[in-house]
Amino acid sequence: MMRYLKLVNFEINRFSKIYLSLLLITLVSQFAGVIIVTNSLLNDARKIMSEEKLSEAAYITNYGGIDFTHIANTLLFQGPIALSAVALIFYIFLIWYRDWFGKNTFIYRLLMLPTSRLSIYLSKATAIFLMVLGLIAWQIIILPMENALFDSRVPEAFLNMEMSSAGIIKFNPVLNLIIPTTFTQFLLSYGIGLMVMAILFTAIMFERSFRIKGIILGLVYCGIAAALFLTPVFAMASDVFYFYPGELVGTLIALGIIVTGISIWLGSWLLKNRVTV
Amino acid sequence: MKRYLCSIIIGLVVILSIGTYYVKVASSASGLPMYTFKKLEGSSKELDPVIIHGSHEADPYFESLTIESNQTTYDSEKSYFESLTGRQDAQMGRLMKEHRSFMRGKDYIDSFYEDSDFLAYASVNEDFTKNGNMEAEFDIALLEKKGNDETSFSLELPDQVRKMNTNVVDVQLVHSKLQVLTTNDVNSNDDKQTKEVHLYTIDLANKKVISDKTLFSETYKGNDQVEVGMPVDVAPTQSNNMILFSVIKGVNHEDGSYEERPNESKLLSYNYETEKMEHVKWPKNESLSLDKIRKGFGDGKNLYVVDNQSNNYHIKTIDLSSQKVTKDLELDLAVHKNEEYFATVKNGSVYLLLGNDRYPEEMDYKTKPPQLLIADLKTGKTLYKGETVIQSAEQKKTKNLGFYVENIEVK
Amino acid sequence: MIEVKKISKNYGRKKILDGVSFTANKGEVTCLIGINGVGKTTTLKAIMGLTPYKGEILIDDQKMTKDSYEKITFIPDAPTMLPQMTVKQAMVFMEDFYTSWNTERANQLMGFFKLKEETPISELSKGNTAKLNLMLGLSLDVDYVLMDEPFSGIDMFSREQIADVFASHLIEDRGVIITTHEIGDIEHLIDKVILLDNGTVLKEFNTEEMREEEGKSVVDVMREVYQS
Repeated sequence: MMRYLKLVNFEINRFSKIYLSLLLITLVSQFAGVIIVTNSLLNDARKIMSEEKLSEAAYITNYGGIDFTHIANTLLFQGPIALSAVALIFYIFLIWYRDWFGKNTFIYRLLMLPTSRLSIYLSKATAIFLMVLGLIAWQIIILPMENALFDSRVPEAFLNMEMSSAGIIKFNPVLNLIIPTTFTQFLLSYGIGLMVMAILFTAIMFERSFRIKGIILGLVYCGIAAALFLTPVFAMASDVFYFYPGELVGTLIALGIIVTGISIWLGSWLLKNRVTV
Repeated sequence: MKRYLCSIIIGLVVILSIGTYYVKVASSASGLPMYTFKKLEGSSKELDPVIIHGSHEADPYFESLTIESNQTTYDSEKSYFESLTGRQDAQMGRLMKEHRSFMRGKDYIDSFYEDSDFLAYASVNEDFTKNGNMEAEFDIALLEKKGNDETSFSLELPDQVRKMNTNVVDVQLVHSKLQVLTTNDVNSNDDKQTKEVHLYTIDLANKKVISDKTLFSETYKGNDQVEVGMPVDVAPTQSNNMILFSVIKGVNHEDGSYEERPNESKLLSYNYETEKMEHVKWPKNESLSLDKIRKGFGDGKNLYVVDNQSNNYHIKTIDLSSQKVTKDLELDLAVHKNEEYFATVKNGSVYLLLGNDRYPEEMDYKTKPPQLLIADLKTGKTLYKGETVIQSAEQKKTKNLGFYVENIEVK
Repeated sequence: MIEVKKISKNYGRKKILDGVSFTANKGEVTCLIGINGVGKTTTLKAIMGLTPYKGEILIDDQKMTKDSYEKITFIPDAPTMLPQMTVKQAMVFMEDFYTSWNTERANQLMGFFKLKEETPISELSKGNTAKLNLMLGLSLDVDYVLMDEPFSGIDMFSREQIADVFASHLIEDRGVIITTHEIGDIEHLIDKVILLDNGTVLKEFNTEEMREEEGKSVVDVMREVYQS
């Protein structure tokens, strides 16, 4: 257990520089977004007001005011979220392949540690998962600050409404995707994320064990895992069986746990018995 | 320890930030105002079966809520699993609860028939083949309540090449034969279109469609339009001798607007016992527009129609066999201009909910709390009258009653 | 004792190992000799559980488990620590994960090899990388040390230094398996030789017996075997 935690810590430290850059990019880009977009919105508004000789009130009735949704839909705001997502998805592969293909073959050391291969497998999964959640937490922390900055920069006459963080998240599809509305949905979404990561890890283990043949095996495994997980959905779509909504979600949860379990077991078994350094 | 700083910080931040966020989200739902009906008259017990769906305007979005037996529940307060089912017809909900396995995969209350011994179901399952033809079959299911015996089978829909779509609107069990009433669109190659109403009789014992009767057929072309609609059934699943359907004719003008031709529109009734089709008429001197009639509530004998033409709301009873208005009861509820009302008839009572303004820009719906009147169908006597109030004193400070009514249901 | 029993290994259709068997005792230096590509490294990886194989390998009568890594270590010919780490960080890592880490011996070896703690691993020369590898491996209180080509591509002085380690008390009592294709520097240290070719054991002999009974050096035997 201690060694597992040490490994998690080790994996996080290894990624810390890139990770800190991601946090920083998000912070800078989103705050810059708030300032730049607010200024340009207000400038546009003033320009129209002077061109059409409108009073503030008349402008608001004709064109509407602004609120944080205008900010949250811009590239400066969503770009870093997409960048972080891509970086971490990419890191699912990198976290393994860098140990094999780096200038130094760290995989020798890793596999010769007096710890179970399952711990190694899980430590990498945990590290990525924790970093994903870290980014989400970061967004939750900086969002109210950005919101406050926005509210302070917009004259009250132009402000449609002061939104809460939850309101902003609910109204923005990207934010709503990464921060689901309820805690149960949060658990389900990130549970699915965990399952997908376990499936990908196992596909990587297939490739590392059987090389070219392993790529095919890995793809086949992904297919089987997806088919198994989605069986009830297929069954319903083809009118074979009808699930009540609760049953459907319950079945999906059960299958998700099974698929994740099989993936972790198979992945760590391959890492233990079939992988070649 | 220093080596672990990074991980510890990430771990703590994750737990604290995500944890606090979701705790806050959960607690903000419970901070929403509770709407209840304050009794002005009558007995509060009458409220028990009443379910009102609506929403509370919580800047910047609406929070959907349900007032059931005078208790407010917000959708956002429901657990994830509770909210999965979504808003459900109370009758469907009851059937699903009582016959969970039988009701699996079955929908639409009009597709059901229920009496003390049987629960029957009929629907049409339409599939389009690759060459665009429709393949349709009846899905029939019967539950014998006593032995909990389920039978289900499929039957080919007769004469299906002709039909474009088939929609089940009523199911009855008459002399152990299933009567399935459908509205149909007929396939055609030219610009002619045909609406039909069919009555299929299905022999449950022999699993056969024994008759296919066309009750109504109307062909139209060009910009004309014919629709077949059903007045609201008080008890859609229950045994009824009579079914009503309204035929609405109109024309689509070149500019895209639609105009009904009220003189050509009509109301028809079909009697399952006598197998007779009749044109329902009502005295012209009554201030009952066709539109009102269509929104009426039928129970197989009478049609109950809400009328808001005078100062107070009226409930009129039309006897379908004699085609006469047998009752015209004035209710203790004043009519306001531009006001939207929601009505339903159930358990021998009429439920009238005055909700929102139809033109919220002109007259803010927030200014007036929704009112509910429950009156006896036979006497028009007020059984209950009340209006919504926000419960807690603190919540009363909110400048408006952001309560928007969507519909009323009675268990 | 490490017992390798009829192990076989294929890469695709190519047979790398084909029924290799030998034993290596504690307190002895066993040398796997063979020209490049005969499966020397693969044999070591198989012993360490770093590659799957057919057959059986026992370490002190037991199969390899995760705890075996406290008893047996492998020093490959490539650096196994991250390039961004310093020598010190690599040592801390080892200390963190192995209970068999011996700080005292590590410091001794650091002095012996004249390695500096603050040097980043990416900046080490080839010779110093080999020394670091050796230092990290030998600082574990293990029973068996497996070394893969410890002398390849290394300058003469470093070679001498490394060879000196073999003669020192740092190796005493341990079972050592070493692979090499250049026997010269360490011939006098080897107790036992396993000659591999085409994935099979061509010849297995005790160096001392060979010298005493037949008067041949290891190189003589190699020449005999590979040139016939």
